Amino acid sequence: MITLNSPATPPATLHPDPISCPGCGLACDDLSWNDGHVDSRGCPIAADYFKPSHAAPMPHLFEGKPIDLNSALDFAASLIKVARMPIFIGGGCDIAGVQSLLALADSIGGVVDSRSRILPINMQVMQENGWIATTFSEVYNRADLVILIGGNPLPNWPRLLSRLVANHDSMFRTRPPQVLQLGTAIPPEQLPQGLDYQAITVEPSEILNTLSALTAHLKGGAWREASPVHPELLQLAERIKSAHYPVVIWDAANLCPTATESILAIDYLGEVIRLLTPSQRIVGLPLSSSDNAGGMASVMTWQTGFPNRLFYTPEGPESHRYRDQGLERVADGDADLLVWVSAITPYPMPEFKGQIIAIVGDDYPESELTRATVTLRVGRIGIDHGGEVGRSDSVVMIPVPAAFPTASTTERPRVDLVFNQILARLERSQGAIL
Amino acid sequence: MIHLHNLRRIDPQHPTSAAQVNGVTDDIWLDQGRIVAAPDSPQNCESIDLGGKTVMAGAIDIHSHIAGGKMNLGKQLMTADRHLQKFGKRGRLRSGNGFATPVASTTAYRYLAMGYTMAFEPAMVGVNSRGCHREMGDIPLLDRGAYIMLGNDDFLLRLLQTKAEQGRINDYVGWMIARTRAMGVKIVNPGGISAFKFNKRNLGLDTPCPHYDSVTPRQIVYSLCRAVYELGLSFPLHLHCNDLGIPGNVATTLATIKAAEGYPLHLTHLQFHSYGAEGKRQFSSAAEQIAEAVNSNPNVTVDVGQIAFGHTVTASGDTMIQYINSAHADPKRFVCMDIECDGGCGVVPFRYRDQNFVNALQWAIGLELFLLIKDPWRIFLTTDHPNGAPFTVYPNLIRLLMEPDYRRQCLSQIHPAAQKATVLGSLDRAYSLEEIAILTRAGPARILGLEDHGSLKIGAVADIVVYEERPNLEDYFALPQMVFRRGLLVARNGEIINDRILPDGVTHWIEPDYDRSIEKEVKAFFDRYMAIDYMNYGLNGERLYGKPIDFIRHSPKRRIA
Ligand code: SF4
Repeated sequence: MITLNSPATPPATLHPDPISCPGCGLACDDLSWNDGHVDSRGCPIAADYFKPSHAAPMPHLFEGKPIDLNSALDFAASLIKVARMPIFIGGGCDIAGVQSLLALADSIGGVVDSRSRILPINMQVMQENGWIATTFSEVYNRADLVILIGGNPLPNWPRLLSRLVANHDSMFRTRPPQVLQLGTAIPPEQLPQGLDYQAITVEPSEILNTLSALTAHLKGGAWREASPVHPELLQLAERIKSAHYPVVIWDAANLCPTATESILAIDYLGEVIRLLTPSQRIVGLPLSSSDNAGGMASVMTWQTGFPNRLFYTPEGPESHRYRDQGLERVADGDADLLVWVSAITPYPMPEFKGQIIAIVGDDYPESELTRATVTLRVGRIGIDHGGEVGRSDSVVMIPVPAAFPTASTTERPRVDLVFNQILARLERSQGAIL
Repeated sequence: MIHLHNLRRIDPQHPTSAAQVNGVTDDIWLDQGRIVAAPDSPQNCESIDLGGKTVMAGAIDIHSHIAGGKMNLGKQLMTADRHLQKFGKRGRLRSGNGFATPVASTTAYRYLAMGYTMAFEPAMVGVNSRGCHREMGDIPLLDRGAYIMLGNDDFLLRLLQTKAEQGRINDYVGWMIARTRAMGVKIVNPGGISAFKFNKRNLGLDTPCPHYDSVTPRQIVYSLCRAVYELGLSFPLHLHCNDLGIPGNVATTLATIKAAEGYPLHLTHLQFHSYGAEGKRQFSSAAEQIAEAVNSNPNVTVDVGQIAFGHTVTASGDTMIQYINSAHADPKRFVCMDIECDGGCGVVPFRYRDQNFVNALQWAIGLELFLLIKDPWRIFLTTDHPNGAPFTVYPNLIRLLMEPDYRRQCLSQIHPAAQKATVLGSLDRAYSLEEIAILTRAGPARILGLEDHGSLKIGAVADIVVYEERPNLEDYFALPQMVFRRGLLVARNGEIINDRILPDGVTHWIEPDYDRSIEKEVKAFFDRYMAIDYMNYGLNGERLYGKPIDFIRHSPKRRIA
């Protein structure tokens, strides 16, 4: 029998203060207890994540029938053992979960990827051309102009403006920065009160052309003559030049109609920043990932050199940008086992013909799980147990204490322990020396 | 228990062994991870006859960028590196890849194969310390630690600006070391990273910092040198000076030595700070001047940051300088980041070319420093991995130091004008094996205060390397016959043992004593200005979740009031 208490987990205090939220890549760590519930500071995603639940733990399942944890782990291990081509899709768990997932995948081979659509877009631009970027506390203290590119980022990043931009107390600025949006205007009722906000409306289909024109204008000379820009864009360029620490923020999921156009658009943004940096400071802040896909990218990078789309082959880790996209491979049908880790936000499983092992939290809808051969109901970080997640600005790892720690050792186990146990079973069955 | 016998011991920290003095062979007994005295009646003992081979303690790299956010960016930017030296999972070993930017497992396997059992990450950003420790925790086998980067963090600059007492600065530094579980303190470009955030492109040692107009880099250096000393850390302040790589920076480096006012000071990757601006190309060697200053200032220690020709990536906290260097990026891509009112980073792929005058002279300058600085206990062998070259070039570098003829032969192949601009050809010094042992294990262990490492004394951790005669010295140091880590054989002839579970590495840190009342001030600063909560910064013991990390906590040997 296994013991599921992690030796590294400190004794749970009932009400950690402050509480951290893994609901999006902002990883806000300023939430607190208020009158028996988590005060989500007006964030709808956090309110939903931390809504109290008094339901009994959901059972682990094999072919829809409740089983105990050890049997579920046995079944999961036997499926993985015979799989020809497994695909592991995360993040959906904490850093420790990713570390254990990679240890297992390295042992048996297969593809590992995150669900994030935006991480690969940003990563492609960064890996090909680099960028000049910043982190949240720098924005908080230095930004005197914020330029938002694309659609309204607030549905995906609810506290972006209220937490990082609209703060009054700062080291180097006397008031919150002006926010200029190049794209679709944010409805006024969603804006923090008193924020100096203006939008230059640009349709999603025109974002790429607009950024191309802005780049040409900044390059000057023949480029500028060939690509005259709208007066509003000229004003924007002048406004940027007069700022001390302008910050360009984009959400790759909310930029252009297609991923390819978004890649090109971010390329232009990087170019704009590089063109201006010889004479002034200007930085980018890519909103990079939720679901701890960013933390997953960090661990994948230090363990394999690849931030995403990883294929463990017998010759070593590989990554082909187009071949090894996890979700595409799931759709292609060349995999026979899907390991779906989704214990932060409950993402619906994709269509898949092979077997599925679902590693999900108690909030994951039962109806979805009828397609899974094995379901392991794991704890959710920040709710049942503590964990760590990567923040969207890629440098910071935030600890997420358990707001409602569960005491049980067999229900809602940690994701890392699930993967460690599966690996131990595989090693035992292969007769390896343990 | 293991009994190694018929061996030639090289142990500069403890050269008193009768056997060594008399030049005869010797024995070493290993038990439970330590070197032990010869037992009265050995039982269950594996006996290994080494046939007179040379044995040294495990080597220690005091400055190697093995982890942290900038190295992750480096791995991501070095896409071609992912196809180099790739290998799949073998037995108990993890898969891996990378030449200039090896991944976690590969880093350990390469170091161990060369007889290195310990390496220190020299530039941990406080806000990235949790990630850095997580990454180091994934490096198997290798013992490690990290130095916390200070000197551009706004909290410290505010303390200096408001003329805080030295004791208060010490308390803050003590808190930072403890909170981030660091083994030392590093400054990268004092004040310069912060200045770059205010759009300043250079910062002289006596130039007031932007926004902090009563603070100069000189004050930052002095106050942190003092803080590190007064907190009782064995390892002096680890300083990456202002003006890295700038022709003529010799003046800054010499002035920086003075700025320490006699306090212990470690100048890191000194090669990059030993440049004159003479000659037609306005780039010259100032190694003689610098070596003279090091020789005559016993409070100063250095590591060289030798370059080697070939492709690598330069990754540094020095955004100011890395932005300048981005003009030479090869391939043409770079990342610069301002980080959390704490520091910054710049990552620029680069190729050092032997037929490029500047690169060729950089190579010669590094070797000049090695040969002109007299005391081997005050100089350490580094390439500032991967900035000057990957650490895997160490065996070649050692050969260059030990064989003047080989060195001259290599010199004759670099850019002709660089050959004329260096005194390297006239330097006959040949390092002895004993001196190499000082440079690579005895010296590092001593300066880091790691009394149980870097030596073969009884009671020391049984990190032991057995060298076998090879056709040349480079192979000799690249392929030790046996490497024991904590008494366990982990590598043989350059191959890591893969048929059994190998132990995890251990992370070393030092916990200084400081006045806890500083925490209130730091918390107030975090509450007002930081987008991360005070409780979540660094490695707060109350908030560590996930994979356990094997930490060894050290205590300073002294505390000066
Ligand atoms: S903005 Fe994101 S991280 Fe912050 S509270 Fe809302 S969901 Fe959580």
